[in-house]
Amino acid sequence: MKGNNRASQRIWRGLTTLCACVTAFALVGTNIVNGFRTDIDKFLGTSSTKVITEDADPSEIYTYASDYTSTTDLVHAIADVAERMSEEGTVLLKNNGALPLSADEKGKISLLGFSSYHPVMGGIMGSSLTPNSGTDADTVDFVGALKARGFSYNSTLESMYASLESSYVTEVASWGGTITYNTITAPANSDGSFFTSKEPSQSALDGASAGWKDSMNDYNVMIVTIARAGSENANYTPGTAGVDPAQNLNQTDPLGLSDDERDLIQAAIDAKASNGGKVIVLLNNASAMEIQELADNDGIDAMLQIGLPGGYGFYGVCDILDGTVNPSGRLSDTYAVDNELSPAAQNYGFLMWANAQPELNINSAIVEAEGIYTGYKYYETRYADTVMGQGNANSATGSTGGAWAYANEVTYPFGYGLSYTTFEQTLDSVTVDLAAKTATAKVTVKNTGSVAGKDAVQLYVSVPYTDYDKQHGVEKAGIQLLDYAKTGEIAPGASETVEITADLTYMASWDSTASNAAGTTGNYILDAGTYYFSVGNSHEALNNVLAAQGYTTANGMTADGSAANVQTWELADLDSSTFAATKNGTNVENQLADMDLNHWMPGTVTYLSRADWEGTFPKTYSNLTATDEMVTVMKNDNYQMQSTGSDVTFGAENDLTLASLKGISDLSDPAWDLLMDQITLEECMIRTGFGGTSTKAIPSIMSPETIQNDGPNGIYSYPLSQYANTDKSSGDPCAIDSNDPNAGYMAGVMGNETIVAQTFNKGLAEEYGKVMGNYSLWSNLTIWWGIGVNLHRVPYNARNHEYYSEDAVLSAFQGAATIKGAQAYGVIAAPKHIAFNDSEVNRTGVATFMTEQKAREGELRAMQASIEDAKALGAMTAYNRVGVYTDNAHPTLLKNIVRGEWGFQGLMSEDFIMDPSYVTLKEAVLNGVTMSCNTGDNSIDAVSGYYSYWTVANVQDDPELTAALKQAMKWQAYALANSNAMDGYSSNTRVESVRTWYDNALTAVEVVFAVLTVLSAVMYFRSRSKKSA
Amino acid sequence: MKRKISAGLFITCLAAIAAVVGVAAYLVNTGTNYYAKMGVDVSVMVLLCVGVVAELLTIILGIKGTSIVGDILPVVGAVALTAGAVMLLNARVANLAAVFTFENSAANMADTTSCIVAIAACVVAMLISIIASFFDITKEAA
Repeated sequence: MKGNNRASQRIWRGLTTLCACVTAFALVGTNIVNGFRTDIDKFLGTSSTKVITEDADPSEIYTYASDYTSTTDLVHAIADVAERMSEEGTVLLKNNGALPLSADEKGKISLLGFSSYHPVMGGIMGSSLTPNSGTDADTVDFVGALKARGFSYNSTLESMYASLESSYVTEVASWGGTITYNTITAPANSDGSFFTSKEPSQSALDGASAGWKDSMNDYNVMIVTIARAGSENANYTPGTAGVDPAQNLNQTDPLGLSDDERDLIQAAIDAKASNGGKVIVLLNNASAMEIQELADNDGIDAMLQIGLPGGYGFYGVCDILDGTVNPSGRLSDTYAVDNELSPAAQNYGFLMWANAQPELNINSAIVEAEGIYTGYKYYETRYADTVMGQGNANSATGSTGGAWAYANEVTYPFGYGLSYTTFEQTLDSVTVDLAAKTATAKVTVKNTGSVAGKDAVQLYVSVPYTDYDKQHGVEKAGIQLLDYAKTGEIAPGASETVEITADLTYMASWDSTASNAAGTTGNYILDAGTYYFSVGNSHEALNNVLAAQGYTTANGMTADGSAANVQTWELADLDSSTFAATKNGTNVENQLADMDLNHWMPGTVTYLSRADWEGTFPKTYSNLTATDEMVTVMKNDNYQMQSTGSDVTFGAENDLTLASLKGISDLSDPAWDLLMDQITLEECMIRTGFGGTSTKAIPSIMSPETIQNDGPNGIYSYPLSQYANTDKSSGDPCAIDSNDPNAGYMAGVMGNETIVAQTFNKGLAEEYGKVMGNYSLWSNLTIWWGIGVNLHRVPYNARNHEYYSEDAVLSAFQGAATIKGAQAYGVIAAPKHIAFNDSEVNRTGVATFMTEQKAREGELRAMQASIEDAKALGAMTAYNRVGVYTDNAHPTLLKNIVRGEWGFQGLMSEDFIMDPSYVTLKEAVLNGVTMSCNTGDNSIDAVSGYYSYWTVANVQDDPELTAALKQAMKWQAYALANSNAMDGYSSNTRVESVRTWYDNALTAVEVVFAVLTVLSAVMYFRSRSKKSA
Repeated sequence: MKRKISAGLFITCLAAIAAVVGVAAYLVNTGTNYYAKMGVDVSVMVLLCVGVVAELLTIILGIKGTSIVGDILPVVGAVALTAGAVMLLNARVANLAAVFTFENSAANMADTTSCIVAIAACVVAMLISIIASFFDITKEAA
């Protein structure tokens, strides 16, 4: 009996343990669920809130209307814009008449290169293509588009590449293994990582199919696709250091060609000799490649730069191949002969501090010693100076060999692109109205060829580079894009006059020494002298300017320019008043002096100056030792909280809801303060600290949960149905049926941002915004982190696919146009990453140094229009440091420039920073950041647990911080009230939390197992008492 | 009365070892560059340490024979390890998501190894401790 009793006790003890553990699991698990509720709802397709609106007329509570009556129309429209984006954003780099293909040639396609079958259609990570199948607008790759457009292609080659598939699988390291891709990928973001060519060798091809070359006799239009991938958190290392050392393929740069790629192209050229066909190269890339050898190779008949075309872009590529569409794309980056030689590339990559402290994210420093001279502003300016014989421009420094000469350094200039026809652009007039801060140009574009087509008008300006500039450290590019426009389709022989009204804000130069209206230093200036306006691509425009200045090929010009195509404007005296205040009336002054490393370490950096190209050409600044003062700042605790008491009102009962302020765009309306008086301090602290993945509901003001989405290739974080309204009786014009054929559609389908830029078409960029706006209305996805406006400082940033261009103006206007289009439908379309996130290397911690002139005329100029002109209601900040401060903690960037000078009034999120110390929450809130990207339980204890200083006791008596918290929430509420997040809300709308099935399941588990625990324990003690008896 | 060792001793030892490994890995993890800033979660540490101590006491008391305290300790230990394991997962899940995506680098991956080990060890300790609670440490000799 004893043995049986003990066995019984063991069993009841074990069951007690089991049931208690399950209970504990469920109880603790409930906290996890609360912290990650949005993500769990996303995964399970559930909703944890319910919107209750009573006595409201549905026709009055839906502010924004879709242009479409069904999701079928919606997805067709998205596909249409994406197709046209590639039609206008694909750049014809060379063509000896081989393109367009004839109807007969459409049936004779040979696809060479594994990337023809597995092209890079989006980023490997970030702006990744969301494939859609079974919808009304399924995405297609190159082969799919060829089939759909009636092309016939060589099945022998297709089979051959299929049989070799295992040889060109690429691996991306992940914890505990690898993720494999059939496309080429970008190298990992680690020091020492490199690019590995995956193109099958000739012997591999011969081994797979002995007759592959013969098969091209019947399919003699040979299209060779060469690809380089784009990816967030990836990096190309310049030069041979960035190439797989185990390969011996004569590859000198990851963005240059390997011998396997050369051999493949040569095989096609050799085949052409016998089959009489054509060789066409497609460049499937976003970072500018080194392709001088392809440009020089007469065996290549035509070459197209197709970017990363997204889900429908290959339709556009096919339409260009067969001439259905005439290409009109222009390069958004300079294609240099050797990217590694650019001044910017001298300071790029893993340049660690000598006194790095990785545990504090004090890792590396980038000194952008090239100043304003990135991209064409370097190549064209140095070219101008070689022609003019100034500044030692023709020294060997930075050259591919011997004296620096443009023809040896640049393959294709910024703005370059061919057409199937020819155009003649005439700059008829330029009228400068300094008071209005505009320059109005009239340009007549005549189609002088035999095929209809569109042309891109690029208006450039060459500003004076004066003795004053040299004395005051002001740099001037020899040529700079001022504005641009795309013509309509012009018939052969016909003309169109394009009028461009350019904003002269983008012509002004930052002078850190100039006095200003604020009584300090730092101002935008226009120098006295002659301003030259011209058209063409960047190089043609400069040649025109040089011609107007009397220079010819005798002076070393690559070609004679057209002086007749130049208009000039004279400014008698230096102007430091016209741009002394921004569009909202804020006086400008130096705000970023601490971004100059010389501010902290005097005399350390020599910045590139066109006054002496040789003497100032950047050296590499590596192994720098941060001073104690710098290290102190980089420890990220730069605001000491006060305890002097705060009189900021929280928790008032004014009976207002956010919906009652819907559409009130005047933030000075007193109703805003009344509403915000209702919010509690705890709500402000929780929502700023835990703002990630969705902007959570705020009960005191009835602010709804609003979903956040990536990315630059479309709203792709969730399928259309995830948050769509499936209640057709609600009066929502965008409600869908539960069995909607496009319920699973995801909109990450657009070509990458370089394609959008290469269209040089603001209207098309705006159309992109509009279709995303419509998608937002149907999917109820409001916040879109979709406007990547960092610059292509160097081609080596593998994330360049998420940004437009090396040029600030092109980036600014394409981004602003997309924001305008999207915001018309209530989308909070956000520019990112403000600012200077121009590298993925050590992005959490990298200290980015530059002059204020570079900052303001570079990335800030690329972002300014999104806020000043397009009035973006959202923005995302950056991982990197601005100087030595984290971007979010920098004392002036966000507060004085973005919120102050530009007048930004919307919500502002940090990037995906998970390190609570690097979030620098208190400093960020003071700077106007409205939310970090972290998540957690909706409780003050949870947020205080995550940020140890973020307690009510610490914050409530800090007058500055409490005011900033309330102001941040006001901006956030303002953005939401003026967005489609409020569609369906009236002033009496209540947002209620609802229990999902998993909440009920967890509670049931807790209750049932708690009872079972007690029962088991009772049984245990009963069995013990039997033993005792 | 003579007692002989039961399977429970080995199973409980395994649970205790797994829990110690979990604690050690967690401490290592909190010292890595990537995870150092998150600090040591006191709740997690307390719960895991309670779990370890309870399992050890279970062994010690169990060798001496059965008792009501010896029967309660396995319950306490398993519950503490369960709560500790789940809270550890909660504390790290956002970081794991970041390291596997936006912050994927060789260094961060290396730092994450100890995190994965800690979570795995704690989960294993939790499961084994539940199983162990069905067994005695010793049983009476025949």
